[in-house]
Amino acid sequence: MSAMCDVDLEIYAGQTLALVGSSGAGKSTVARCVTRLERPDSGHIWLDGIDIAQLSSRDLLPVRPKIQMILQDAVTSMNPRFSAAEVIEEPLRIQSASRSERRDISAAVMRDVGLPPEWLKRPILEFSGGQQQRVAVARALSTRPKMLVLDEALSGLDLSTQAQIANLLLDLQSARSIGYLLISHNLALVARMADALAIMSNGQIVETGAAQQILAEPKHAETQKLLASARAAESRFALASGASA
Amino acid sequence: MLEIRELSVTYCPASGDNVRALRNIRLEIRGSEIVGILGESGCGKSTLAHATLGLLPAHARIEQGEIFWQGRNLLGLPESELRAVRGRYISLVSQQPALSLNPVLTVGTQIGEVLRAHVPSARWERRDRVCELLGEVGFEQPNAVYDAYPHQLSGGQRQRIVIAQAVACRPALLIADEPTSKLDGLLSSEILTLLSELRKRYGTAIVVISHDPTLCAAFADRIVLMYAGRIVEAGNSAAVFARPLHPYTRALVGLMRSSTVAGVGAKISFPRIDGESPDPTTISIGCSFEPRCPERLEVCALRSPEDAVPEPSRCVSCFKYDESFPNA
Repeated sequence: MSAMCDVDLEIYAGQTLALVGSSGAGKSTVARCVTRLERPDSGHIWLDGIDIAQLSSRDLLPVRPKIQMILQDAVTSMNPRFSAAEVIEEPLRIQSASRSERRDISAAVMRDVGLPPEWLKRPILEFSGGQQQRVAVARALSTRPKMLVLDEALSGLDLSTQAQIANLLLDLQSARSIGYLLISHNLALVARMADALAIMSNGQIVETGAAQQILAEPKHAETQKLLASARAAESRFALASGASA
Repeated sequence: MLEIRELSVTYCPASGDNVRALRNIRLEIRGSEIVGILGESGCGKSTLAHATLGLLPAHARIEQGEIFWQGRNLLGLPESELRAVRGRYISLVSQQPALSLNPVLTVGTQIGEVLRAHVPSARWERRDRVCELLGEVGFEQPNAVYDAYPHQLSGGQRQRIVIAQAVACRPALLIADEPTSKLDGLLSSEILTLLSELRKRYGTAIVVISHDPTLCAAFADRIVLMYAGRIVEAGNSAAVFARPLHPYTRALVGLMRSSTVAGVGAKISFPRIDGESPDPTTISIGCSFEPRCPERLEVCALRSPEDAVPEPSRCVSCFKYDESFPNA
């Protein structure tokens, strides 16, 4: 079965491309190919001038630090017996960083995500949901990536926590010009985070362009459907809360 | 129909500190109403559902309180009697449909199991009844779906199977714990529509547990807001969202109004509520929202507020509305 075909996307340094579509559209397959957790059947994935699409796992080793991924419920991708330090230092250990280097970097990234470095020794399960997601961001930052793939990384969080993590990601992006591939079905989130937007349906990109323009004037039927559904939910809330829609 | 009185629950893990999950919960659910329990993760809303169904883990301790179901206190019942209530009169739709289904049994068999446990019937009768249920939850070819295994179905379809299980015995009360949090926008509204239809047709009361105010506003008749193990505000859903009283509710509604697709126009930061929920292992003597509250008074850090009833069928736990407290 073909999960996606002829997908063309470009992500620039310091910019966010949002990939939106209903469940099963193929968004996560794109994420898994871009991060080379899966090898695409054909095509090219250029990262800083290197085509990583068909690289062997050995050749990928020096490339992997440049592109990191954060998932929904990131804590489920962490070893529950690990401390925050072990979670954050794991990618560095794979990259054979020295012990003192690892210690310096983990303290620095903890500060970057707004957590006190003294908490590094705490077991990961003792952090709250929002703090665990911050640790996931810290782990991703530890290898100084040029690109982050955020696969529903903000879904399932409370509104307030979601806003805190989104603001953190926006600040980090402008400070270090990291490129983001944001996969989300939340258009309100996309509206605030994305520069460019691509709509995916049945394994293909059906509409792409500047985010604000697409949100203002959706052309493809799939885009219109997604926007209508988001607007319907918003206006139901506005109606229920008595505010004028 | 269901009445919870002064329920307090504490988790006492073998290692680590005790967690005070619920404190003095008072709640009444009436026949065929939809009640939304809204709160951040960790506020105790799932604990409340599990306590009602007698499904708390072994390290949970019920400190005090009663849960009355049709005149009987469920908390005092032996497991055998509780089992006759659970699934038959009160049922649960859990958060992760993938995890609550057995991967090696067909979905038809699994829905049939619920019937077999509560309603005596012959095997062939059960198959007909299960197919009827599959039709009710929106499957167009119930016979084909009957023989499917969970992995052959999509996330939205699996959620429908779990709902069919939950409504198989026509329960009087259905508790849905984050029924749509793993689904996208279109699928969520389909599931909510299905639940409202079932309520309309059979008069089933529904308690929906969610951290999403949009969902609660659109779906529930009445809203109960929880924060750090307590109920901070409750009332008619339209009234609560139109005129939120508790500072936490007000902050939340403000957040909702500003997180829309339209009218953003640029990449900008998100509005948020400053601070984090209190650590549930520490015992604060004051109001638990006090550290984050923009309208805090001196008294708020000193003792916790009583429920005030500023208008009929509305209650709010905040000193600002406490008439016996003149400085408020």
